Amino acid sequence: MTQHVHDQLAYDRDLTPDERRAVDAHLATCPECRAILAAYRRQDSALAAMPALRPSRALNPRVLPFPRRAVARLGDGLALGGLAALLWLFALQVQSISQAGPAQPRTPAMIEPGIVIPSTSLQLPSPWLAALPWVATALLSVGGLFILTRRSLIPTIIGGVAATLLLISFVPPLSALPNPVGVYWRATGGYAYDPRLPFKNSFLIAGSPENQIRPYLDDLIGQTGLSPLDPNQPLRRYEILRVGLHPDAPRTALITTHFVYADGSSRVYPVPLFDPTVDVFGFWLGGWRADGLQRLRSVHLAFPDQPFAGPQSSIRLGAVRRLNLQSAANRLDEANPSHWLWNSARVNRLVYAPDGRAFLMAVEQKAGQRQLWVVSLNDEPPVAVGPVSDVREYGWSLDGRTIVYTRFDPDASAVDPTHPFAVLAVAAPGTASVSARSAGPVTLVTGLNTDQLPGLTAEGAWFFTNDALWRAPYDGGQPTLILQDVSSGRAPRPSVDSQRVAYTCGNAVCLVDVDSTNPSQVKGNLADEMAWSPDGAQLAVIDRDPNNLSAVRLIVLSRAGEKRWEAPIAPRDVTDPPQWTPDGNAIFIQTFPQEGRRIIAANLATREVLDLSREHWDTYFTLAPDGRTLLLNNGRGDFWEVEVLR
Amino acid sequence: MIAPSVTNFIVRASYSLDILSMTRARLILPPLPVSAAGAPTHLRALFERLFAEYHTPILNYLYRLLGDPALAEDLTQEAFTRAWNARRDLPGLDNPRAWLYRIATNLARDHVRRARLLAWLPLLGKELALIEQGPEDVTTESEQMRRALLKLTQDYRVPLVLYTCQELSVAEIAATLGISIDAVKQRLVRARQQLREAYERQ
Repeated sequence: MTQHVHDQLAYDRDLTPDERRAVDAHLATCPECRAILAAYRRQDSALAAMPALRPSRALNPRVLPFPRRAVARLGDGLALGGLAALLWLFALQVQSISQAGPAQPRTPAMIEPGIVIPSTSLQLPSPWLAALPWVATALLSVGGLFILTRRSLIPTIIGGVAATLLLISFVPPLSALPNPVGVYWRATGGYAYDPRLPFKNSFLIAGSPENQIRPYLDDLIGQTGLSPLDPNQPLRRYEILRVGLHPDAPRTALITTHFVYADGSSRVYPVPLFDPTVDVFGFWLGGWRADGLQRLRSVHLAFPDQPFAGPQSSIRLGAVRRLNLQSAANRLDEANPSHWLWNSARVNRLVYAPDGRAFLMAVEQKAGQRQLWVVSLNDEPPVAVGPVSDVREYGWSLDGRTIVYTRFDPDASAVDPTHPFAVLAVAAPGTASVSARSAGPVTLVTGLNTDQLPGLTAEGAWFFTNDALWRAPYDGGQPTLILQDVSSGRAPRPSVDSQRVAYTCGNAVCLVDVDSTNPSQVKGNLADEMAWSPDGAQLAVIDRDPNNLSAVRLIVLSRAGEKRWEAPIAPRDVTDPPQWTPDGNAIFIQTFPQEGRRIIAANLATREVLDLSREHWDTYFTLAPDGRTLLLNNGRGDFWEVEVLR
Repeated sequence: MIAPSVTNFIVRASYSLDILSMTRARLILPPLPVSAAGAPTHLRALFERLFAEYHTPILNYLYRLLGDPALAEDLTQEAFTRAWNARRDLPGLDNPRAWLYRIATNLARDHVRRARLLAWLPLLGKELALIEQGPEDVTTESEQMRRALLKLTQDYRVPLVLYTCQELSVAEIAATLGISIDAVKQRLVRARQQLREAYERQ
């Protein structure tokens, strides 16, 4: 009974009348239970005396302040958005990892029938993806802070800072200010943005290159030409896909553009814009001064005495076709700003192998550093020749087994700065190495005063040093003395039979038999380049004014040194060496007048000099060994072949 | 005053990161379309009457359970938001007060459960201890009693506060907690005994 009453005292307010009477009766006789009840009463009093709260105004459902409501929803939304974005990124990452196979070759993507779009051009980083981690993290952080500190100004402040960072990172013109994303891209590279999207980081790029290039691209609509135009299909339309920076030349913007031609074929080419008004890293810039298409837009006019070849000309060019080379070969040197300078630009040189199965070209990796490549005309990847260095001139031995090139030699320059050049030889791909001692390039001679290519015969390379003419075997063995007491001799060109040699002597051309008989000298300006005819009966000499003030002339000499013909071939500037057709009736010369490279052909039979170049070509070329085609490349990717009609 | 701010922030965040609570309105009462029958107006009037009558008791109930005024206010908002979302049940309720207290009690339990789940964090664990122990320099009987009350487990603290502070009947407490009347009585007995012992130990 006592225990039961003890329990009832704990909820004595809810006792029935009968229970109440029973409890009261018990309490009257039980001091222990009275003490318990008193203790419970004290509990009740103490608990009732606990401070009570008055509701704040926020608890009024009708007057809940809007900002607080909005902040609460904003925090939730931001956090959810950030979380979703991060989850999406994570899913993309998982997907890419799951799809990545071991060392799978990348398949070029076809986006329209016709020309293959190089996969490298389509794999530029998406600016959305690049920005997404920043945006997602910012959203999640700010949203989380909103949630965590709903009664504080901290999230507002941090949100404001984050919003400011996002604004100055992605919203022009604010994004021209220094900002973390820009600094990150500057440090790591890979900067690019999609001009079709509303934001970009302007800290790394001046103005809007895409807007500047559009009028120039518009001018090319309906035109034919070489890359990025098509020689046979007029350009129908274009679309700018990306704007980025040249990986090795941050002053150059690359506007990756999709060109679509009349037959539906297409290609992607990174149109360059370079030389900004102040600096690509500048604060706020006015624009860009030059672009990689400028030379294609220049008016194509014939020079005096070098008319364009017409349908009835004795030498003319036929149909152009695109060479089906490996994608990697087609991309060689396609984004080298040096090709697109408005002035005379002899940046590259194509040199056919004697067997016509491959050609040489150099690719500038960075200023003064070039990689020599052998590009096969078959479906084989290009092969790098020797290490990257300051490669100058290059060519093949007559048998095609050896590649010879000149380069600047820092060691030689340290000894004598006036004689800094070296000649190296390396085996052509697929042939045995030139030396049993080394599989790589072998230095034939160093300490020369010219970077011109030495004379190349089957036996070795011919060069002048110490007032004597020498011939070094391609295996790096001891040179053979050919001629003595030849002062100021330079660039020897031995005839095919190696019995007679022509060379530059001062401002004249000197010829002499290798046994020092039958010397001859032809006065001129400056014999820049020379080449013997295939039969060795004639010598083509490029005669150029050293002051570059008068026309460049082609002089054809007999083997004995008699002048047979002379004609202007260019207004000024250097040229490539003359290239003879196998029959010795025509000479092709690459010239480099301003704003458009020319293909000059000299017909010895008709005494004509014709300009075979076409509008929007601006191309380098090399004559095929059989004399029937020219290989073309204008420094904007892709290679073309055109038939020579005579 | 106990100010377990960081813990409560984190716990509130954990509410908000819950997908369901993400979509939960916070006492935002959108205007109800008034139908020809006038039913929504009726519901709104019912709810507003309930709110006017009980928002202060619910606030103080939660404060006494949890000891944090800010948290009590937040949870009161949550409680009435949930009540608003379930307003269509109002006309059929036998005891709306018990219903409201049940919502508030469940919120308080959820809060404590989440706080305990987060207590492995060093800082939060320390703050959770503060919730349950309170500061040492307590002098008044009321404050000592409050400290003693916070040392009770939820099962005993809740019915005792409902009975002594909120003046709910045993039957209402049973309805609130979803347990039998006898179970309520049993818990009240043990709660009072434990409270007395806890008070005397101080």
